[in-house]
Amino acid sequence: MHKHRTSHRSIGGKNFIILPIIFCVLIIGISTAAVYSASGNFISMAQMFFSDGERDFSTGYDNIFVPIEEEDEDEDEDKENSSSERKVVPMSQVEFPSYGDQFGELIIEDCQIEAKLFFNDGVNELNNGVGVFTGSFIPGYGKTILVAGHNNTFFNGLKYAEKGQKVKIRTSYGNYVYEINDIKIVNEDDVDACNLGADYENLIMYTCYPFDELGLTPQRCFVYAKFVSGPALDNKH
Amino acid sequence: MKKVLKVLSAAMLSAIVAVSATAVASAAGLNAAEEKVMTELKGGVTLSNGKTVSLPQARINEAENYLLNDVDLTDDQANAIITQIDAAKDYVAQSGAKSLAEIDKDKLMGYAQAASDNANLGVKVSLSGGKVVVSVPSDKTPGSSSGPSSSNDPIKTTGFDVPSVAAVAGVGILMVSAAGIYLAKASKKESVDA
Repeated sequence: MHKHRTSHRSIGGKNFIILPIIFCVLIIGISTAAVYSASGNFISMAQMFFSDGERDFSTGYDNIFVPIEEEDEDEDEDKENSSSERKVVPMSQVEFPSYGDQFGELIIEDCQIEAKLFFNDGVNELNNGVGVFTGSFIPGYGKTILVAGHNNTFFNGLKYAEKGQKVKIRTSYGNYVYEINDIKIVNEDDVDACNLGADYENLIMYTCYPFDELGLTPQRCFVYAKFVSGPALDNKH
Repeated sequence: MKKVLKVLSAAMLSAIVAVSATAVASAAGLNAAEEKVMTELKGGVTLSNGKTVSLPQARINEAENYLLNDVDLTDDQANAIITQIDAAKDYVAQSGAKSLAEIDKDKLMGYAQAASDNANLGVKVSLSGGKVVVSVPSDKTPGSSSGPSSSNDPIKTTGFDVPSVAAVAGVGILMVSAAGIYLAKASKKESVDA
C-alpha cells in the first residue's frame, strides 16, 4: 500500500514540473518558428537579449513640438512653382531636436496615418510614433529625411500608399508637404534603397514588409516622396 | 508721466520677451570652424591598392547633425579635431592595408577619442560587441542619456514590436502553465481515486 502511494507521488511531481516545461518549450518553439520567417532573425533575437551593449529602456521623451498655424496648401504649392519665393527660416530660430525628442508629426490622410515624429529611430521612439534616422536630416534642411515606423502600428497604413498622395509633416518651425512618387519592396540589407547623400530635399518612409506580419521580416516597404512645399532652413544663420 | 511710464514698461517687457525668445533658440547652423571639420570628414583616404575609401554617408550626416545641434565649435577646437582626423588618415594610408577590415580598429578609435578629448567635447567612443558605440554627454542631449550609436544601420527592424510579442508570449506561457497544472492535478486526483 505504501509502495503504491509513493509511485503516485512520483507521477504527480513529474506532471507538475516536467510537463509544463515541455509544453512551454514546445509552444515557444512553435510560436518563434511561426513568427520569425528567417533563421537570421533568431540571431537578432538572441542579440537583443544577450548583447553586452547598452540598451535604453526608458519610455519617456521630451516634446518640443508646438504646432504652428497651417498655411493654405494650394498657396504653398503655387509658391513652390516659383522656387525663388520659398520661405527661409534661419537655423538660429529653430530649436533643433535632441536625440529622442518629439519635434513634429507626420500625417498621410489617404493612408490613415497620423503619428508623432521623433528625432531618432530607436526602440522607444518607434513604440511612440515614427522616427527620423539621425544619419539623415530634419525637414527643411534640403537633404534626405529617412523615417522609420513599425508595420504593425504607426506605419501599417503604408499598405494603402499610392503615387500622388500627400504627406504632411508639421514641426514647430514650419509645415511641410511631400508627394509620394515611388513605392518599392526591397530586402532589408539593400543599402541602395535610400540615398543619404542626396543634395535635394526628399522624404523616404519605410516599414517592415509584409505589413501585417508580426515579427521580424527580411523585406522592407520603401515609400518615396518628393518635396512640394515648406520653408527652407538656412544653416549659415 | 503715467503714460510715459506705461510706454516705458511696455517697451521693457517687449525687450525682455524678445531676448527670452532668442535665448530659447539653440541651433545656430554650421559656423566656419564646423564647416572645416565637415570638409575634412568628407575627404577620403587612399589605401595601398590605390582604392579610395571614405566614411559612410550616414556617419557624416550624424556628425553634421551633432554639430548643428549640440556644439558651437571654436577654431581651436576645430583644429584639434582636424589634427586627429589627419593623423587617422595618415595612419590608414601608411598602414599598407588593402581594405578597411585590415585596419586596427582600436587605433582608429584612439584618434576619435583623442579628437573629442582635445576639443573637450565629452564624447565617448567605445567598442561593444565588436561594434563602435559613440556616446554623447547627457547634458548635450536632454531627450536621452546618449546619442546615436555608430553601430546603427540606416535600415532598422521595423516589424518587431517588443511589447506586443512579449504580451503574446506571456499569455501563451500562462495558458500552457495553467494547462500543465490542470493536467497534473487531474492525473493526481485520478490516481488517488484509483
